[in-house]
Amino acid sequence: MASASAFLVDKFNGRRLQMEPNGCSRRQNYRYEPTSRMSNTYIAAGTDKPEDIIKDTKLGIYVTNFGGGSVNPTTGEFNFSASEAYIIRDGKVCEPVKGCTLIGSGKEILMNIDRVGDDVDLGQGNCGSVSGSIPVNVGQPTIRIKEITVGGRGGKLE
Amino acid sequence: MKFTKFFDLAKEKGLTSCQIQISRSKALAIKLFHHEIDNYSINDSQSVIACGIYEGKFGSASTEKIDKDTFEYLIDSIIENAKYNEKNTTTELFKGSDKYHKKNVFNKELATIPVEEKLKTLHAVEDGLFAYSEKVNEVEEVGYKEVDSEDEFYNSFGLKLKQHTNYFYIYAYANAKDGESMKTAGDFFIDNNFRAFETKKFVDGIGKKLLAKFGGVQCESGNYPTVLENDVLASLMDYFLAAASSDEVQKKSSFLGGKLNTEVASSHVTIESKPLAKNIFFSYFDDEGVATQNMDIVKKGVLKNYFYNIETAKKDGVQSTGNGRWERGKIGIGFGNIFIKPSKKSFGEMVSHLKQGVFITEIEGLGTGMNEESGDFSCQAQGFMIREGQLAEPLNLITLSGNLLAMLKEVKTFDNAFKLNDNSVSCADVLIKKMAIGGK
Repeated sequence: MASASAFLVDKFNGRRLQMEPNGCSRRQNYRYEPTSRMSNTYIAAGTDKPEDIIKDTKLGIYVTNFGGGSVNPTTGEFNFSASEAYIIRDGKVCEPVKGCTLIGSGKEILMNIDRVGDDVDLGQGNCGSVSGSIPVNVGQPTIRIKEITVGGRGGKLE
Repeated sequence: MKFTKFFDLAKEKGLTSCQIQISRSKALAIKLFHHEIDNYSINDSQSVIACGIYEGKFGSASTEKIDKDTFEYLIDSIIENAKYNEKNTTTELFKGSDKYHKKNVFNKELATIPVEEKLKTLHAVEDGLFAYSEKVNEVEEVGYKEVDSEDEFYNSFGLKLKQHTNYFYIYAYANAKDGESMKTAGDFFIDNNFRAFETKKFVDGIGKKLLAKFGGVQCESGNYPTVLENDVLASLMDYFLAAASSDEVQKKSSFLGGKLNTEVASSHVTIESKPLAKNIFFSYFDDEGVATQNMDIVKKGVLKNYFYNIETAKKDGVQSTGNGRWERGKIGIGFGNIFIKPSKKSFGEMVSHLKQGVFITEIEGLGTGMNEESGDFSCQAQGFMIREGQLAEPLNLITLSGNLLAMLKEVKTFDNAFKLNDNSVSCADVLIKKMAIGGK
């Protein structure tokens, strides 16, 4: 099982937490106070072939693009809207799904990852938070989550 | 600042008509963390935005640097901007409305209350939250914001308009822990009468909301009669109102296009735009100098009006509704002070007949979960089950999905919990016949 091994710590919050800062203090510009922010973050590669992950999924959702989302850092609860997604039936990518939102608690979802692909890919974007909007590099391989709540108007996936 | 100089220079340089607006604002912001001041900032700012017609074309310019060269800079920039303007839709500026409904909404007392008293109130909120329950383990943010703004509008036809407003905003977010379970809740209060803020009521409201969340579960996915709390409805209505912008309609990117004088909601829904309502969002002229007016957007379910500025009104052969607002160097559409008519029923009366339903108290992720063109949305939600007409178990990590038009057509009733929200939409809780809830 994986465990949390480090926090992102900026100087100010490091003093509050009595921890050493580790160089992640960032802000958009002088109008903001800096705080701990991500810069280059990704989920490391696993050993599965992405096509095998899909092949081994009987019924599920294949999300290929996120529109964005938000996280409550205290509870770890998050929401992301999928801007491109498909239903997986019997190991095959089938019909597209429109307007669905993925929600969950970060703590639980990380525990529910059961397959990790070998195809890490990085993407660039802007991350917005209390110290403004900053450019970030984020990435992940294809991963499978055993179970997650997906909201939409279509009712239960069958 | 003598604006006659601006107009003289503009005329000399060849502008046939022009206008200039100056906005000054004084803002105070205080934040507490663990009984200490975490942030204290005073921010005085001013900005000038001007526009004019040069050789039959519209140009605009703005600056925050105000000195003896400002007028010349603005006029030269307007001319340069107009030269590159490929649109020839605005060929003259608005002279002025026949009548303006000016009211004094500035609260003199607010500015005279010493900062110490405001700080004392913040400390009382923080102490109150920590003392509310043993489960409260952190007060993440307690803050105060006060803004005093003055807006002046002048044009080359001699129109002079002035408005002075102020307001304050108190907000707080607290965390509670019960075993492994963590919950957060917060609230805000906005007004310009400092005496209207009641610390105990505010603290109790957050505390009650926070503790009620423990034991939250997911309900079975399905369609339920759904009550949206007033602030949830207010956030959703932002997108409905944006679709009533004539600009969006003319660009064919609004789901309200072609629906004027047709049913867009159930007959229980009446939405009024009341910029002249006497509150902190009062405004009697827009950014083109047009007098604002109160009007119906939706009356008993029928779409009655779009929001217009001068340019979009001209395209549709109607009059501007006083909704012109600066948007990145051009006049776009803005609106404020929206009232959705409540009923006289209490919340209890509204839900008394529901055997089973869902009460949504918070939503997250509408920014990305809303399709602005179609009105389709899907977002994260929290709230409570309603069983046999009573609030039952809390719901957590559920989703709320629907379509704005379909939702408004299914409105059964509102209650009387009428509230002015910080997006300037005043509304009560609403009961919708059926909405899609995602859970287990």
